[in-house]
Amino acid sequence: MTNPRPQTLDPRPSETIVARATAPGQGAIAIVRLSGALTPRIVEACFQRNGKSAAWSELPPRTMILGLWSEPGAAAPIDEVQLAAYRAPNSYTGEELGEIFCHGGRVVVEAILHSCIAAGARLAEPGEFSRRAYLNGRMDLAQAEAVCDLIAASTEAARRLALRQLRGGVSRAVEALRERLILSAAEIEARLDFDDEDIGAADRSRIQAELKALIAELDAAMQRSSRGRIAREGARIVICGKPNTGKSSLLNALAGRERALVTPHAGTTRDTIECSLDVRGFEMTFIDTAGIRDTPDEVERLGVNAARREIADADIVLWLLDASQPLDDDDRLLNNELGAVKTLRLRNKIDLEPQWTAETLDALAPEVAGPLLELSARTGQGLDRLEAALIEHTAGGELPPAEEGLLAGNIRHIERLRQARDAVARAYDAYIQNVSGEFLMIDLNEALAALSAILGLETGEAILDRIFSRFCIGK
Amino acid sequence: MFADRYEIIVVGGGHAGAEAAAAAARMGCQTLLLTLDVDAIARMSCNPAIGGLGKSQIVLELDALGGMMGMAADATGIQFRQLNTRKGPAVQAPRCQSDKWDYERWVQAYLRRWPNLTVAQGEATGLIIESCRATGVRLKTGESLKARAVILTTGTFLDGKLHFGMESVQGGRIDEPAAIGLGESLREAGLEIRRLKTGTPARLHRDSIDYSVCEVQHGDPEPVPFSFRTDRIDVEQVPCHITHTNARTHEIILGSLDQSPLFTGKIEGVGPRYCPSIEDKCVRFKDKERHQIFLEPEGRNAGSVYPNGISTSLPREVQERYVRSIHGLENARFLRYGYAVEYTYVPPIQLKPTFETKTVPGLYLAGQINATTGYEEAAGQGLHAAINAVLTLRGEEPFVLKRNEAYLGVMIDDLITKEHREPYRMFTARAEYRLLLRCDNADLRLCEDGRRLGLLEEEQYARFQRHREQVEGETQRLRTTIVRPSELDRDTLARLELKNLENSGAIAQLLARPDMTYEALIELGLGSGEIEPRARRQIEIQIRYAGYIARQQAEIDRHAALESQPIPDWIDYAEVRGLTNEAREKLNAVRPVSIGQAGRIPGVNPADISVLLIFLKRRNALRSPESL
Repeated sequence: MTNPRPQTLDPRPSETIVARATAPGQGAIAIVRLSGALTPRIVEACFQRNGKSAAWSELPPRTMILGLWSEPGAAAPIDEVQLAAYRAPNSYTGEELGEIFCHGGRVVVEAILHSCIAAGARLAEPGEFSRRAYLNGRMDLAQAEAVCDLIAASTEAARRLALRQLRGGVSRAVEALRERLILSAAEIEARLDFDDEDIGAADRSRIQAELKALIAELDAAMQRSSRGRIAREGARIVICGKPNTGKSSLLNALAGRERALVTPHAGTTRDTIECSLDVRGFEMTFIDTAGIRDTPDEVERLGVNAARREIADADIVLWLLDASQPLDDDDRLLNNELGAVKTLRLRNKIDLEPQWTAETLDALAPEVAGPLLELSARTGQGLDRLEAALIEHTAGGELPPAEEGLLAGNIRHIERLRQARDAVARAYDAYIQNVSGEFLMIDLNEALAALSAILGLETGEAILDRIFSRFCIGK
Repeated sequence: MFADRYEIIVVGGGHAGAEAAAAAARMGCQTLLLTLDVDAIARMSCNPAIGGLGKSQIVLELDALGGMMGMAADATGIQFRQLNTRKGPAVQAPRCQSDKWDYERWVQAYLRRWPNLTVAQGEATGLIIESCRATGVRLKTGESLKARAVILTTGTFLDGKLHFGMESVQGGRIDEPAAIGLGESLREAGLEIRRLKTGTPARLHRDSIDYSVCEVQHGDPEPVPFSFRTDRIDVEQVPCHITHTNARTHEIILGSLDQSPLFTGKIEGVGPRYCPSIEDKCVRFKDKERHQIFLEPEGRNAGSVYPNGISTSLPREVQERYVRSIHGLENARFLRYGYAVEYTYVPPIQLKPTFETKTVPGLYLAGQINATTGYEEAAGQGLHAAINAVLTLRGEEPFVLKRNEAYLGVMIDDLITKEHREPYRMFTARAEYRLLLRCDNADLRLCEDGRRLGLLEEEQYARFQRHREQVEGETQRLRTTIVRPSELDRDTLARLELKNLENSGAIAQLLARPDMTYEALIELGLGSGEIEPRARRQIEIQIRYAGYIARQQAEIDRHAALESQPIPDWIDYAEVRGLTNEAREKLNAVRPVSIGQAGRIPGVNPADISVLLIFLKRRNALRSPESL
C-alpha cells in the first residue's frame, strides 16, 4: 500500500531534532545538540541541577550549567554533563536549542541521544540543523549553497554507511522481516479490496502467530543493533595489493601502535580481516583483503570477489606495493580495479633494496592517481606520515560533517526498528481483538515504511504486488 | 450540422466523455460532444456493473460534486450488493449489476437535457494547434471545429486493434471502428504515446445456459443506492449465477497458448494484473483447480450474459471448446466472441494536476487515454478535466482535490506523479487516508464544492444541508449531554442486554460501545426519532471511530505545511545545487506543483526536499518560511 505515508516529508518542521554535533571518534568531550519546541520539556525531563530538575525558563541562557543527565524517569544518571541553553530566536537554528557537553565515549553519546528520543525528539536528518538555521533566517544567502552541498555530501555518506552496515548481514535480516511483513499485510489487505473475489478466508491463527513472531524478531534485531555488533563506524579503509606485499604486516603494525576498538576477526569470506582502530581520535576500520589476482582456484576467487566488494565500499583504499620486487602483471591488474576509487599508493619494504621507481609505477598503472607514500611495515618507518595522510583524506576531507556523524546511522536504524516493532505490536493487539483489517493496516503500513527506510527502499506498491502474485484476482 | 464555435469540445462518448460533456455544459459552456456513434454513448464495453471497493468511493464523490454516474447506476441497476458489510465503514462499498442498455439510454437522455450541449457524430482525425494552443479538431470529413479547449477521452479507440487469436483487425470495440490519425497528431504535438491492452470475454445467449447446475447469487434484499439524491431503488432485481472452470477447461486453454497473441508476443501492450485473461490465470496459477465465473445478465430482459472471469484473446474455435467444457455452459451459444484490444495512451506524467497537457495548453485528457481502467475511474477524470477546463477558460483558480480529501485526489496525484506499468485501477489500499475517505461521508466531504462549482442543484444541496445539520447538531448534543446509568429504564436496559453500565458519561460514550446503535438510544429515551436513518449511521460512525479518525487527521496536519507548499513553475532544476542526479531527472519529468507531490516521486528523497526548500527560500518563493 501501496500507500505508505509520504516518506519524503520526513524533515518535519514542527518536530524537535537531536544529533551529535561533534566529530565522530574518541574525543574527550562530545556535544549533543537538541533543537525545536520540545527542547525545554526534554531538558526538564532529563537534566538535573543540584539534584533536582530545573525549569527551562530559569536556566541562564548561553551559560554552561553543570548537572546530571539521565533517561526520563530513570534513577541512575547517564553522565555528568554541562548544559548550554539558547532561547529562540537567539540560537543557531533560531529555535529553542540545548547543547549537552558530555564525555566523549560512544556509549555515553548514544545513551544521551536515546534519552532525548525517548522524551519526544527524533534524530536529525542530514543537514537539518543547518536547514532550519537557514530557513529561520539565521544564515545569510552566501551560506545557503554551502548548506545544500553539505546536505548532498552527508546524504551520500549516510547512504554509503547504510549500505556498508547492511552488507554485514543486517540487510538480509531486515529484508527478510520486511518480506514477511509484506506477506502478512497482503493477506489482510487482500480481504479488504477483493471481498467478492474467490480467494477464501485468511488463516487467522497463522497470521496471528506470524505477527507475534515478527514482534519477537524485531525485538531481537533491535537488541543486536544496540550492542553495536553490526554497525561499525568511522572511516572504512581497505588494504589491497597482490599477494605477499605485506598487507597483514601493515595491519599488525597499525594495530600495534593504536588502541584496538574491535578485536580483529576473520570475515565471512576467506582472507578478509577487519580491525577497528582509534587513529588520533578518529575511528577507522581497516580491512585486510585477499590478494587480488587472476586465479583458477575457486576458494581464492571468492576471496578476490569479496575484496572487490570491499573496495567499492571503501572510503580510502591503501594499495600496497612491494618495493623489493619488480612490478608485474598482477600489479597491473590493480590498475583496473582502483581507477575510480580514492587510493593512497604505499611503497612498502623500503628497508630492502628497491627494484622500481615512481615513474615505473605511473607507466604501469596510469589510471591510479594519488600520492605515493614510502614506508616499512616491518620497521615502522613512514607510519606517522601514513596516519597523517589518512586523517587528511578521511576525517579532514570528506567524512560527513559533525552534526550528521556516522553514529546517527546506527541509531536511526534502531529507532526505525523500534518504530516497526511498536507498530506491529499495536496491529497484533488489534488483530486478536478482531478489529477489521483496514485499522490494522494503518500500523502495518507504518511498520513497513520504517523497515523500507532502513533498507533505503521505497514502499511503493509492495503489498499490492504481493497480492497480485499470490492471489488470482480478477473476475 | 455544427455551430461555428464551441467553448469546449469533448472527443469521445464513453464514461469519461459523457461525464465531461455534462459537467462542462452544466457549468455554462457551449459544449460539443463528438463521438463515433451517438447511440453508443456511455456503453459498457466490458463488465455490466458499476462500483466495488475504491470505485464506489469515486462514484459517490462524483455524485456529491454533481456528476451523473451515481444517478445513472441507481436508475438502471438490476442487482445491488453492499460489499464488506462485516468490516468497518471505510471499506464498505456498494456494487451493482446494470442493465447496460438502460444505462446508456439513461445517460443519453440526461445529456439531451442541457440546451448548451450538442451531441454530434463524427471522427476527429487531428488536433488543430495554433500558437502552441489546442484550438479545435479536424474531422475525417475535412471540416474543422474550433473551440477554446479540447478534452480527449478516446478510451480503447485510439489506434485500437482487436485481437481474436492470431488474427487482428483495426477497431475500438467489437464491430466499431478505431479512431485513426489522432494518435499521430498527438505525437506531432510533442506528446509521448504508448500502448496498453485489455480484454473482454465472450457473450453468451441467456437461454443456452443450464442454470440448474449453477449456484444462485441474489442481491441485497434492500438495495442501498449510490447517490445521496436517490431515495430508493425501484428497478426490479434479478439474480446472477456462479459456475467454475475445471481441469478440462484448463487443459484446452493451456494446449492452445500457441494461438494466443498474448503468449506468442504478438501483443506488446501491457495488460492489468488484476484483470487477467483466463489464459493468464491458467498459466500463472497452475495449482488453482478452478476459477470462479459469474454469469451476469447484461440486462433485465436482455438475451445476453456476460461470463465474468474468462476474458480472453484466444481464437474463436478455442473459446467455443473451453467455454463448453464448463459446467452449465455445455450448450452455450455465442453472441459475441471474447477479444483483446490494444490501444494508444498518453503517459499521464505529461499532465498538469488539472489534466491539461503540459505541452499543449488547451488540451485535456481523461479516461483510458491516461492509462486507467474502469468506468468509474474514467468518469471521475472526465468530471475533473471538464471542471478545470471551464475554470481555466474563466480565468479562475483550478479545482484539484488532494489525497486527503477524496479518492479522486488520490487518483489524480498517482497518475501525474508516478510512472505506471499497467492500467491504473483504484483500490482502497491506494488511499493512505482510507479511514477518512468513506462512501458514507462523500457528501459531507464534497457537496459544498459541487454547489460552488455550479454542478449540484439547489434542491439537492438543500437535501444535503438537512442531512449535515442533523449529523452535526446531534453529534454535538450526544457529545455534550451527560447520562447517568441510574436514570435509565431498567427494563429497557435488560431488553437491550446492555451490561457493565456503571459510570456516568456523555451519551456519545454510550453510543461508542460496539453493542450500541442509535436505535437503542431512541429506546432509552436518549435519541430522537426525527434523525433520519442515514444521519443515524453517520453519527454512529463518527462517534465509534473517532479515535482512528483523529489519528489520521493528525497525520494530515503534521504534513500540511510542506504538502501544500507550492513550487513555482519557473523553477529550473538544473540550477538547484545539491540535488542528486536521479532526483533532478525525475523532478524535471514530473515538474511537481507542490513540495508534497515532489516528495512522492519515486527517487526523490528527503534530502532532495531540503535542498529544494532552501532553493525556494533563496528565491523568496517560499510561502511561509516561519512555518517550515
